Amino acid sequence: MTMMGELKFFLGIQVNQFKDGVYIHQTKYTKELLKKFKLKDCKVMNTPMHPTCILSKEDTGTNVDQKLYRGMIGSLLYLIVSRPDILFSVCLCARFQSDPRESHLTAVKRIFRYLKGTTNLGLLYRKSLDYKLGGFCDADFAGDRIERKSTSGNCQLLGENLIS
Amino acid sequence: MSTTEAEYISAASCCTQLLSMKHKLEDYQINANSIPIYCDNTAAICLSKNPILYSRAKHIEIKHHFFRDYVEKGILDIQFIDTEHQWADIFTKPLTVEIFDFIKKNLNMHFVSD
Repeated sequence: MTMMGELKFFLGIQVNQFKDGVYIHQTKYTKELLKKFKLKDCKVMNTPMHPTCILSKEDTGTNVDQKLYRGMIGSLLYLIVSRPDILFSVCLCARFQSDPRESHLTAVKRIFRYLKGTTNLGLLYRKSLDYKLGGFCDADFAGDRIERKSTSGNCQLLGENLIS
Repeated sequence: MSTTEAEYISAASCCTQLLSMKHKLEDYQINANSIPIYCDNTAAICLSKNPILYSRAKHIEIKHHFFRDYVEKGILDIQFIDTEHQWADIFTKPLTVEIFDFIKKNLNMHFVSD
């Protein structure tokens, strides 16, 4: 085995190592995605999803290319590695993969528009000796309008760094 | 009581994650005790701290009740947190810009400058 120096780029994930911490981001991957789906010139959005956005299965809108829709979702799912902020919106859009309509595609495109403004956002892991484990849990009762299922979400922190 | 059920189940799944992490940390000689779990539903907290089977909560499946034992032993510590400081909100619902940015900052998400 050869020593190739510090880890910088691995499977599309970029790692910046500093004295006081490590940055994990996917700037290059995000830029490539925007280029791939020809959304480089779109307008920037502040959030990945509108706060009162309702997506439903029985949409009367026109059908869209399923291959494209699935491709977009698949690429976004990999981006979640370093971007927990888009996790919810991507997973919500992923539920309509079997029959994607115009409104669903618009929602996915909005995620891309959000990404365009925040391409270089990443997770920072600060160096510390604080190993205090902690967790946050939250649930949205019957947040899903189709099957009336509840959404649960939780995150775990070690010290002040997000680990799961 | 249904919201409580949802919160309770989410707390239970959070516990499973935390317990596995605790075991991993023990391999590195780091012993974590009374791990705080922040929950924004007081009813769910009361339910986890009181090892009685209420008739109003009997519809919750037994498998979710396991974490009461850990709360009783003092390994886990369920605490209340108000909705504004609930960072797990970002994973359950679409948010407005202000709250979204606030949580992002708290989850240690920053812009990288090369």
